[in-house]
Parts: sequence; structure tokens; C-alpha cells
Amino acid sequence: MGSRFDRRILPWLLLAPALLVVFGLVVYPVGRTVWLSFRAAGLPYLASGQSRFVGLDNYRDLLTNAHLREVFLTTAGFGFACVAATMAAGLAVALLLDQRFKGRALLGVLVLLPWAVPRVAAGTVWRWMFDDQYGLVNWTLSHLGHDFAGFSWFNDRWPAFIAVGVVVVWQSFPFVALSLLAGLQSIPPEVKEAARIDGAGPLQMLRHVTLPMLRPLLLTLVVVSTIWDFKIFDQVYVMTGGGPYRSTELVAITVWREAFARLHLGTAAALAVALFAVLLVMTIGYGRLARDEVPGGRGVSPRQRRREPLGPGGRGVSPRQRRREPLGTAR
Amino acid sequence: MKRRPAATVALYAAVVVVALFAVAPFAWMFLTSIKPDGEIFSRTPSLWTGSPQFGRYTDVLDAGFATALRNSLIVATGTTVAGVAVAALAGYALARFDIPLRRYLLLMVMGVQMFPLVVLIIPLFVVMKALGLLDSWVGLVVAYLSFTTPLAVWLLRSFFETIPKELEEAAMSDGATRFGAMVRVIFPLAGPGLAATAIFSFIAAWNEFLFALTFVKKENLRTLPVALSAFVGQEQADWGAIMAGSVMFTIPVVIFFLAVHRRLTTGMVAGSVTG
Amino acid sequence: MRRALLLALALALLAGCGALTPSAGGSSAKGPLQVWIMEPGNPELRAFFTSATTDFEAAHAGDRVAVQFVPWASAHDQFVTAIGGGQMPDVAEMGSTWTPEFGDIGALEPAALGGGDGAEGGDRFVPSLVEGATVDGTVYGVPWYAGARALIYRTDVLATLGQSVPSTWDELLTVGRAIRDRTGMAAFGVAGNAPHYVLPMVWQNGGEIAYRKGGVWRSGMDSQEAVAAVQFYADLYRTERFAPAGALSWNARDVRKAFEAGDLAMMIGGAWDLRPLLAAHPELAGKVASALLPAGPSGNRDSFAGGSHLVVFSGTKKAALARRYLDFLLDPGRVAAFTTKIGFLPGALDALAAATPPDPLYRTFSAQLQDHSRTYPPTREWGGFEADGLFTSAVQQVMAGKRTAAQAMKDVAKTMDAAFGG
Repeated sequence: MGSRFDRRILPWLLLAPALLVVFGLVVYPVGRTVWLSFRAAGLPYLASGQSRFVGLDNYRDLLTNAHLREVFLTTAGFGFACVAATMAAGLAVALLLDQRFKGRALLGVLVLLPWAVPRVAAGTVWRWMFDDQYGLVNWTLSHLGHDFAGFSWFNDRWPAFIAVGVVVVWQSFPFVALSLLAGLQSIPPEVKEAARIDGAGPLQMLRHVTLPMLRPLLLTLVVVSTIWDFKIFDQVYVMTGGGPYRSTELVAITVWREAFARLHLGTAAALAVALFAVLLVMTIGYGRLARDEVPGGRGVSPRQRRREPLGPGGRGVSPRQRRREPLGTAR
Repeated sequence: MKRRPAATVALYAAVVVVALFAVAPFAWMFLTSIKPDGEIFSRTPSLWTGSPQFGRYTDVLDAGFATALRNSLIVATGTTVAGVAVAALAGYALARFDIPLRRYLLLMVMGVQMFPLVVLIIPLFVVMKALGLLDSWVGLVVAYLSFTTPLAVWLLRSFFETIPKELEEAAMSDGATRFGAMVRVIFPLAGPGLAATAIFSFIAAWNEFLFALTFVKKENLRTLPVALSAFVGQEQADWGAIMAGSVMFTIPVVIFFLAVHRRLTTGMVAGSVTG
Repeated sequence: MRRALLLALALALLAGCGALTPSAGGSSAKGPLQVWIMEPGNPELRAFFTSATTDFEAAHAGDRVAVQFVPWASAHDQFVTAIGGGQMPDVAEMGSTWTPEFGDIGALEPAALGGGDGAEGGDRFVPSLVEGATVDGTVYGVPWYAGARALIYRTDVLATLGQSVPSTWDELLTVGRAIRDRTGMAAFGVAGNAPHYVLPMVWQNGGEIAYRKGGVWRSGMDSQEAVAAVQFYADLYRTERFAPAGALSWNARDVRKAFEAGDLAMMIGGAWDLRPLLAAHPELAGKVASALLPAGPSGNRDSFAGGSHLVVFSGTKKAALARRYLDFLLDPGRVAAFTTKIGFLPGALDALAAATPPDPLYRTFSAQLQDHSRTYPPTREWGGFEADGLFTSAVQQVMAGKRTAAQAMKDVAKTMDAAFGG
């Protein structure tokens, strides 16, 4: 259906501005990073562009460096934890905001605020709130009955990660919540109505109607959150600086140290490429996971779609089908 | 549908918890901004102050905050308008058409985001300089677009995917072109998604610091996050002023959100398939 | 197979793009003089600068100057980016420990200390500050202002305990223990994230942080004196418990917070701490005094002389204008006015003499700067050590009891030597 123009040329026309904007500026920086990852480049490189080709040495160093392995593992662990917490909090708040109650708009505004603050400012304020002597957190916890007077959150790795984690989730959940809210609001009321008529309770509604319909959005948000949470820099830098003694150092901080503190630009580039590779593999993995999992759901792979152009048949009424025919026969 | 009383109580309890979590640091920031200097750090955090001073807010405004505010508004609005437009077109294309290499395009577009910014900043600076984009709002908008568009495209694509194809098909069998159907039928239905993307673009541009510091050095072009750093010296920081600045920082975002939020919370698919 | 080929092609293309070297840009001969000044942190000082610049433009017809303020925390990165991106300012205020780094790679013009011409004039300035800007015999920055930390303490607390202000390490221990045992206050602000507190103790114990041997820099941190100094500092926290547990992750600002709140009796700090402290807490007036740092066993009581240099970037096309502006900024009256406001002291000896405050409370800092201060080894690697947190990580490990000072310093020395030699 649709003219030849519509099918062949229009898509590319629609894509062109985005491709230009995304790649125009960034092709050279990314290319330069890849190029530098195969070279040794330090202070002289900065001043006069001299660098030495070293092949895969930078990458080999990455693999043999125990501290770096630990940093990657820490980043992955902390990153996944933040993603899980953010998605859970975001979904819960979205479901809450989807209800009708007095002050709903106000809550929306309040939820927005953590996101609107610059990360450095947020890190600074929370660092203060977690201060061992004068912080609000210790004072509140002590008043709630646990003795936290003088407890230092930043003397050890795990309390420090909890503190930083709180800030990261605090700043990230609004985006997830508002995006999911938009998604929830896009679900046609007829679908919910039909499910209710069929006798679905709120929990079943969530599992069998709401979440499957939100799947593409949820997947996008998980992918994006993972990418962001693996690159966390500002909050950690401001709150712990990677300390104490480098125990809270994340990959982005290591890259910064190598690039700007030690001026080992080749090593920094190799680290960045390694991080990119890890994130790329994960994103592809997520995509595969979503596609192959649900028969008849939104995530139908192109291969499947080619096989079954009219939708998967004989598997019951899929949400897609239900939306097409909410009250019976279509026009 | 009437809600059971227990559910209502639970609902409002949840609302209070969420509100507290979101807003507690802001209350603290606001409180600090009106405390006299001597009271800011004390062993027992005081939840109120005997002598509130609001003078800090005027001080901050006088210190060039107003100019920075204007600059930030220009840059953020530009990024939002251009970003949503560009991403909507691309997101639609990726949602509806079976473009060759579609999956690779999607991955590549997001691939840009997978590099830590610190490693890209120096060559990016070189590119900006070569293109004459330093010290300009346009330059900053372009730089922000590079990094917000990928997510915006992914977001809008997933929103478009949830809208049934039949709606355009219905419009086109009534004689509309694909493009017309897209603009007049689909975009309005994607209101919530567009609104969410707009808020995201606005905030991303609004509180971004590193690019704003690196690419714009002229005082009268500086944006808010950089202006806030005017109160942080080498060995001392004017905490009261920083807190006052941070509180004022969030106000335009709140206004933008209020303007856009109704879009966010009105689903409009009802009644579109029939009739 | 096709996918792999496409991927390889994409990668090659990318790398190829990256191999292109962009055309060198740099400064131009037109337009105003581009000057970077560190963010002073309050609008009053900014205004001082802007009006000073207007005065300059008025006095020199045709000269235009554009001053841009750079936040301290990001300044080092901004310099690296500017140099890497080929867009450096003409003149800048540079942190004194960064000057050797950028001077060594040729980013800075050799400085004209005589003011106008000639290589003479080194004795116009505080010697340690000039030394701090010298790499391989060339001076790359003109000392603008400097400050040294001394001891700030609560006279009332010491009086109640019948103690006098400590002037040696041993006395520090005695007085500290008295405060710890007989009052509820923390005795001494020993902090984990404060390199300027611990590194000078190496000097005070008669050691060297790094030294030159046969034209090559070598680390002195693994010497007996350095190790003992670090262990002493760490023990102030770990065994003597002169500061609360959280002090492991404190920085200098946290120490000052504690002192301001009345929870700390003695701290290391500069005039820039004392002034705002008294302004915010007038109730402390008369209860606070300053003294020279306690001397170590070797009798040395050196403190770190930090501050800023004024530098001219090489490649500037406005060298003459730059020198005129520098001379203007370095006018003794102007420097004195500026530095008093920020709690530092001028780097030029004549201005320093003129700026010595009559108030004995602040005179201590002048004495500390002039007679008992040094700068860190002016090597190009130093900026990297600082930014990398090399010393603070090691000291924190010792403070936490995870390693002994000997083990930690051995690794520090190894890292330093590798950087020096590599």
C-alpha cells in the first residue's frame, strides 16, 4: 500500500535530519577515539599531535590489569542495581500517577524536580545530606531509633555506593516514571475496559494487558538506563571522587583519570572503546531477549512477521487483535 | 469505578512517600538558602531558622543570573523544538517502514551514547571549532541535539509502535498521503509520547554543564549551570547563594512541565477507529 | 559473513576519519585579548576584575580585553581541552602546580619576570614561587598571589586546659591528647583528602617528596623520613583519634566546617579560611588565633605555598598586549587590593611587604609564606599526580589501617618513578 515514493524514498527523507544531526558532529570524535586506542599518546600529543602506533598494546594492558577488571565488574554491578531500582521506582510512580486523585498534577511536578537539577548540584547537596557530622540522613536515622551519629557513609565502599545509588535513582526515576506514564496514557481505554469486562483484577490487568502493551517502551527505557548507569560520572566524582582509595571508581571515572589526569590518551581511548563494546553487546542482547520471548505480543521479529503477515493465528486473542476489534467487528 | 477506602488510604500514603522522597532535598536546599551564614552548618540540622533572609535571591539575580536564565531558555527551547521535530520524523520512519538495515541504524544511532563523554570532548571541541560553532547558541543546540536525538528517536519509535497501523491506513484510504496521515492523525495521538520527549529534551539541555562550560566561554552567552559555578571559589563556596541559585534553577522547568503536562496525561485513542 | 564485513568496513572508516589531523587554529591577531581567570567565587570579586579591566582599556587606548572566568574544579580539564583543541587563551591565571606541566610541553611562553624585558627579576618574587614555575631552568609563569597554611586554633579551649599552642610534633601530640581526653571536641583536623596537610609533613621530618639526581627526578616518598611522616599523620587519626571516624573521607572544607561548628579545636588552614570563618561566626572572635605550623623532628616547619601564576600562552599573536595587561595586573597596589579580599598574599616581595597586615592574627600567614614555605617539585608529572589523587589514596589506606606507611609509600614511589622515567 502506498506509492513507490512513499515506500522507498519517504522513509529516508524522514530519517535524514536525525541521521545528520546524530552523526554529523560525532563521526569524527568517535573515529578519533578508535584511532587513538591503537596508539600511545600523552602530553606531546596534546601540544603537537605526535603519537606512536602501538597496535593492540592498550587493549592488552586492559585485559591484564587487575584493577581495571575490578572497575568493570564494579561498574556492571552498580549499574545493574541502579537500573533495577530505577525501573521499579519509575514503574511504581507511573502507575500511581495514572490513577486519578487530588493533587495529581502537583505530584507530577514534585516528581519532576530531582530530574531538573544538574547532576553536580544534586551530588553536592546529597553529599552534604550524607555528611557524617552535619548531615540530615544521619540525624533522621538517629531519630528513628538507629544509632547513626557520626556514621561515615564515605569511609567504605558499600555505604558509599548506597549513598551514590540513592542519588542516581533519585535523579533517574522521574524520567522513567514520566515516560511510562505517557505510555500508560496511550493505552486505549477500550482495551482496559474489555479486560475488566472479562473479569480481570488490577494485578492481572497489570501482568496481562498493561505490561505487554508497554513492552517496547519498557525495553527502550531499560536499554537507555543501562547505558546511562554504566557511564555514571558526575555524582560519583562529586561525592566520593572514586575513593576512598579508588574503591568506588567506575569506568567513566577511570577514563577521565587516564585522559585528563594522567594524560594517557591512548589508554583512555581503549577503555572507552571497551565500554562501548560491552554496552553494544548488552543492547543487542536485550533486543534479542525481547523479540524471541513473546508470541503474539508487540515484539514480533521481522523474520516472524514475514512468516505470518497477518499476525500469529490460532493463539488466542492477542492484545493487538483486541485493539483492532475492541467491541466486536471492525468497520 | 469506586475505590475501596483501604485502597484510597494506601494510595494517598504512597503519594506522600513519593512526594517526600522527591522533594526532601529541595526543601533542604530552600531552607539553606534562607538561613543566615552562621546557621548553615550545625551539628543538629535545624528544620527552620529564626531569621530567614531572602536577600540571597536578589543577590543571585543581580550577579548575572538573569542573563544566564535567558541564555538557558533560548538554548533549551531550541533543542526541544528541533529535537522533537527531528526525532518524531525519524521515529515514525523507523516504526512504520521496513527500512533495510533498520536494526543496525537503531543500534548505530544509540551507539553514540555508549561512549563516555570525557573521551569525546577534545575531538568534539575540534569539530565545533572547525565548524565555527564555538561561543554560540546554535553551536550548543547542535551539540545537545547530537546527544539527545538518539534517545528521543528510540522513545518516539516505541510510542508510534503502540499506535495501530490501521489508523493511517484508514486515513490514507480516505485520500490522505502518508505524510499527511502521519502529521494529522498519528502525531496528535502520540501526544503523551511527544510531551515526554519534549520534557526530556528540555531538561537535558537545561541542566547540562560540561558542554556549556567548554564550548561557550563568553560571559554574556553562558547558561545557568555554568552561572551557578560563579559562587564556588577555590577554597570557599557561598553555600547560601548556591542553594538559592539551585532553587531558582528549577522554576522554569516546572513552568515548562505544567504547560506540557496536560498533553502527557490525556490518552486520545478512544473513538478514532470507529466513526 | 556480510555482517562481519560491513562491521569491519565501518570500523576502518571510523578509524580513517579519526586519523585526519585537523588544521591547527590557535589564537588570532584580531579581537580582544582572551584572558582566563579562575572563578573568584563571589560576585564582588568578579566586579573588581571587570572594573580593573575597564580601567586598563581606558588607560590604553585601542586595547581590548575579554576576561572569562573558569571554575577551579574544572580548570585543569579546560586547559587540557583548550590545548588539545588548539584554542588557547592568550593570558591565563594558572594554578601554581600546573605551570610546570604546561610549560614543559611548550604551551606557555617563558615569563618575563623583570617586568618588561630581560631575564633578570627573579629576586623580585618569593623564591619558592619562582622555583615552582621553573622547568629545566626556564621560568614559565609570573607569581601572582600565594598563600601558605598555618595552624588555626581555639585559644579558649587551650586556656581552659592549661596548654600552650603546640610548636613541635611532640607538643601537638600532648596538646591533642589533652583536648581529646578532657573535652568533647575533636583535637586536630587530620583529613584523608587533604594532600596539602600531609605532604608538607614530609619536609617537616627532613625528607623530600622528590629530588633531582643526575638530571632525572626521583621520588623521595619511600625514604625513612617520608614514611615516618606519613605514618605520624595517619596515626593522628587511627591511633590517637584526634578526629572523628568520618575524617578519613574529609577534605579541607570539611575540616573547616567542623571548626566553624565548634567541634574542632585545631586545624591547618590559611587566611582564606580564617576570614570567612570569623565573618560567619562572630561569636568566635577573640577565641581564635593562628600560629606557625608545628615543627617536625628536624626543626623544619615548612608549609605548602600554593597560589597562582600568570602565564602567557605560546602561539599568542598579541604578545605585546599580553605583557601590558600582565604588568597592569601585577601592579603592587592592585595585587594587594585583590589578594587581601581573597585572603591570599602577593607573590612579589615588595607588594608582600606592603600587604603584610597589621593584625597579628593574619601576620602569621605572611611569616609562614615568607620564611617557612616551599612548593612541590616543579615537574611536568606533578599535575598528573595531583589530579590522579595518587597521594590521597595511599594516605587513606594507611589511615584506614589497610597498609603500613612503608608499603603504601613504596608503591607511591614506584608510580612516581615510572612517570618520571617513562
